[in-house]
Amino acid sequence: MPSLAIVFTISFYPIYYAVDISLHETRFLQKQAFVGLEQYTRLIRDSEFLRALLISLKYAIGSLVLTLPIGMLFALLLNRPIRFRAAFRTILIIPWTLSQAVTASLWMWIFNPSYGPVKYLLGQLGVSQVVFVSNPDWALTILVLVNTWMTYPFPMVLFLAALQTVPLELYEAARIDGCSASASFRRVTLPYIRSTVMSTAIMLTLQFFNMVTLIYVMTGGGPLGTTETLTMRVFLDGFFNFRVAAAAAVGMVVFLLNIVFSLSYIRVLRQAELY
Amino acid sequence: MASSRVSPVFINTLTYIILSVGCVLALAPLVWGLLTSIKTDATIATYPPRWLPNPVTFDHYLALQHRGGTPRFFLNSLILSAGTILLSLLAATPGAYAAARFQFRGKQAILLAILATSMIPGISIVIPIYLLAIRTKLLNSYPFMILVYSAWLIPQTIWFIKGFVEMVPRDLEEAALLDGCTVPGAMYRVILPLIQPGLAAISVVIFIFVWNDFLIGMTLTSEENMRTVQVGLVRVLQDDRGISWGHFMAFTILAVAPILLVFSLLQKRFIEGLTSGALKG
Repeated sequence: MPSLAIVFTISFYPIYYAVDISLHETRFLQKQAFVGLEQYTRLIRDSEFLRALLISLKYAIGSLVLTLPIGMLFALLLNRPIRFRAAFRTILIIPWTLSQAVTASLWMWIFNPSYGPVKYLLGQLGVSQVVFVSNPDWALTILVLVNTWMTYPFPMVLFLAALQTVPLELYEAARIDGCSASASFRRVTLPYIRSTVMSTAIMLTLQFFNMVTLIYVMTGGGPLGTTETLTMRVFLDGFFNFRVAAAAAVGMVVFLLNIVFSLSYIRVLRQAELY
Repeated sequence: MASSRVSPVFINTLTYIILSVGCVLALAPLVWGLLTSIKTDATIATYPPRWLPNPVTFDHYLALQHRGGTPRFFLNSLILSAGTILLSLLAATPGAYAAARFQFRGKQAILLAILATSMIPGISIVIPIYLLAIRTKLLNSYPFMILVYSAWLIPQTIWFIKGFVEMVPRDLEEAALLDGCTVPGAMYRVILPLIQPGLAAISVVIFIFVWNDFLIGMTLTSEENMRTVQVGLVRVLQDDRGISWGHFMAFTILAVAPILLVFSLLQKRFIEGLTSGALKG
């Protein structure tokens, strides 16, 4: 099977190679002396690494906390018997089809500090604070908001599909038992689609954790490193700062964290099969 | 759903309001970009912003034609997308067919290993892939880029097509085999026509992935005329000479246009494909 050959060469060999690099010193692109785990022990002592890890977590959790409820809200509304449902759904999905580079571009222009509509609208509301990506207090928040804008359709689509599998009799029964709308959501809907919610949450966490392009284009990790996530460190160290070995080591840490998330994903799916 | 305490009319109104606000927010950045791209430079650089383009101009789009390399970026992305669709389908379809129809030792293990590779984050392996490209002098090469894209997409493609093959009744192939078809012949004549919707769906996913990719395009190209659409776009933004927002938004709109076209034509396939698995970012 030729497909196997392609997949394994391009996926497994680089992993091996990355591990190999991360165990050496590098100068520019040349591998130098073998240093064992030194790159990794250096990371643990490196306060910048811990800071990047923290920023990654903030970014991922912040985005998760926004995208999941927004996705759920739209899914619940779209699951109601309303007119123009297909049109609403189509339009709401659009942000998800755009690339990270395009999304970043569009929002850079909206947050433009000289001519942007955000500045104008905030000004009308009497806010004079500078809300744009070069402000260290706001950069990460803006990234989370923009990320939410481009990602919420994903949970929305998955939740909508799951909601359509909930048997109507269950709602009927809940109603007869005197459940309010919110109680029937908590007691009937949520338990029924729990595994979808869990697996979506994990997939999103992975995606947020591994994100590079959006952050690179909007802030480049700045200002003052306030948006420098782990993956941004890999990208910047690997391609701009000529610290290939350090970048490869951080890349491996990202990979290991991915494995942890993926294993929990598989567990969730297994548990779901038990029902 | 049905609520006994709040009036249904109120709930319905609220539904429409929230969905409409959502739609406005979903479209606003695109519309604002589109409006900017057809304004004159003088109307773009004003504060407070002037919302509507007056006069309307297509100068920014025309100027892009002459801006070094821009049409070339689009051609490159098109070639890479088409090449990746071709290679991925050619490599994955027989594999998916075998996985769906034959029992062989270690099948589950191989399938899981393939799936596992799709969970390797792109960012963790771009550096080794980049170094590999330098060592083998394969920077700025269409075939190498297509190979990397395909390797990232084949796992998902195999699993996706496998699902479609499994839905085809076995009787059809057995009839073909009895009539003297070889196994590849049966696959080609019986299975392929029946799984076309699946092939279409996954092709849409592959197209969107390659067209929207920045990471591979950025790392595996160093020559200006090999850049892809997304890389070209970002480089306009980072231009030392400063950016013309009109130009930039025109470029952005052009970069989005093929995606929105495919999305509007093949929405159902698009959603099937994209929800079928996680993608590297």
